[in-house]
Amino acid sequence: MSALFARQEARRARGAAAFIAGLSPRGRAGLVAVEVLVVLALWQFLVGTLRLVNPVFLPPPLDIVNGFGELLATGTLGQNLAVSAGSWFTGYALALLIGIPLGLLMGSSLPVDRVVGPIAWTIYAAPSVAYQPLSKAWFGFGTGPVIFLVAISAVFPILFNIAAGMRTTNPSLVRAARVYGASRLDLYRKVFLPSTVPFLFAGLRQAAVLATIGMMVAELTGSSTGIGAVIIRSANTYQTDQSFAAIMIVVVWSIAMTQLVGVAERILAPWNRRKGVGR
Amino acid sequence: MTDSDTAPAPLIQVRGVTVRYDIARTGTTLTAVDGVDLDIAEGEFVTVLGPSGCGKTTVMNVIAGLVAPTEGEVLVDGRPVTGPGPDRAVVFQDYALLPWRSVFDNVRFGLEMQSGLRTGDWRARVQETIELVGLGGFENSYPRELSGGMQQRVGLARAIVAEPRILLMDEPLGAVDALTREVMRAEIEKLIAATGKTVLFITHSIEEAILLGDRIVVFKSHPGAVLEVIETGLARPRSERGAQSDPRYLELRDHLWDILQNEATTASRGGAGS
Repeated sequence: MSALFARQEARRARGAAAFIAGLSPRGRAGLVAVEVLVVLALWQFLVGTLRLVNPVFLPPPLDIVNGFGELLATGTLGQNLAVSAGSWFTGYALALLIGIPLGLLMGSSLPVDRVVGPIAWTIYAAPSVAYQPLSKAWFGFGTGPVIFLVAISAVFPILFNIAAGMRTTNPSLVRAARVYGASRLDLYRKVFLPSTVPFLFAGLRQAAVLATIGMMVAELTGSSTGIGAVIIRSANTYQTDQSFAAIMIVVVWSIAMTQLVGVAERILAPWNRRKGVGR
Repeated sequence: MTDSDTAPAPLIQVRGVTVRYDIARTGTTLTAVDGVDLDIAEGEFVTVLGPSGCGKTTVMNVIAGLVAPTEGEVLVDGRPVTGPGPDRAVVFQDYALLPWRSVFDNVRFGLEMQSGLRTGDWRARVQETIELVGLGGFENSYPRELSGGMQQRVGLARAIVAEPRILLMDEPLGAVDALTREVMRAEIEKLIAATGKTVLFITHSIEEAILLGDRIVVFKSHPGAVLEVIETGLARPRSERGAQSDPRYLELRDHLWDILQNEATTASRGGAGS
């Protein structure tokens, strides 16, 4: 709807703004590509050629590509990415294992919500960095603290979204189900549970981003393996081209994981095609 | 269907039904429905007409077994209603379809919790019902892909697939556009005439109340109660153009119009509460 209005608006207006507003999805992607290329070229020219800043602080794009090549050739990238991915998926799986049942319980039982809710919100209110020193004490220096921070960062959006989905189930669907003979168990299986699915996926998408942040926090502070450790180590040895390459990988990872959730949703809940932002 | 041939008891008997709600926020009690008596014979098509918020839906919910009356009781086939049952189905104003289910699976929903899936030919039955309401070819569509009228056809199919004796319809065409409304009203009349079901049809459209009902029950609001019961006495089918120029139709329309206007005026003067 909004895209349609934007395009109609564009036909009336003139100039560059109108041109951009009127672009098709493919045109918009092209615009972003051109934008990125221009920035990269300018960056390369200003830092790489004119040397306006010390390239150690801000390595030009071609150096970053080199750094990426080095990380790849030495096997550093493969090894550490595997460690990070392992921690991420383990932590995320734990968050699902805890968040989904607890969220369902909170959503369906007011007493559980009253007891667990305030505690959950309190833990969620503190940034995950705050739990980092504790996690070191509890889980040592391996991947333990990383998994812990991924899980604790990802669990709350899943939990709260599912609980909200349960509570906001359309009462008219519940009435209809009762008319056609639904037992209490039927109501949960056939109405409440499916109703939470769109909320679950909204939570999973948030959780994917927060999990990546949690992973970075843990790996940047005293971990010897993982992409975060690569960033710290290369920066400490002034190989900032490699640091930037590693940062790019984290960005790509974060985007890839949210996209993965989107793909899962399209397969598992094809009936839920919302016309929303970024879809 | 019943064994007693001599003056059969009405299929639905509403006996002094009163429904009150305690409003926790204000500490007051709201009387939604006050002492409603109503008998509906087997095979009768009764329309209930009244302004919004007059408690007509509440009465329907009591018959459906969704709301327990504060006082009084409802008997269906002589037995008191204590909850929903397979003898009664409801068509909802907001369709109330499960968005994650296809048309086929939504219609199947009317069968699956009433041991309807144990009979071998349930698939054929679901398919026949879908075709009966004119949705053949849309079996695999999701509700969001259908227009309002089509969604209500699904709601209707879900209601009749298990062959209930009683069909309770709560402003089923209230959310449908005017043209579709006309078409569907005619189809509902035909469908009910063919199946001989007992129908309670709630509406706030005078036209619908007259063109569908054997009898019209007029409700008043604050509190909801029966104001008048009128036999329509029009020949069926009434979907053809002629029905609306029948002198009896015009007489009924003017009469109902007067009652409702009178009622609306008193309600807006006295009924400050929602």
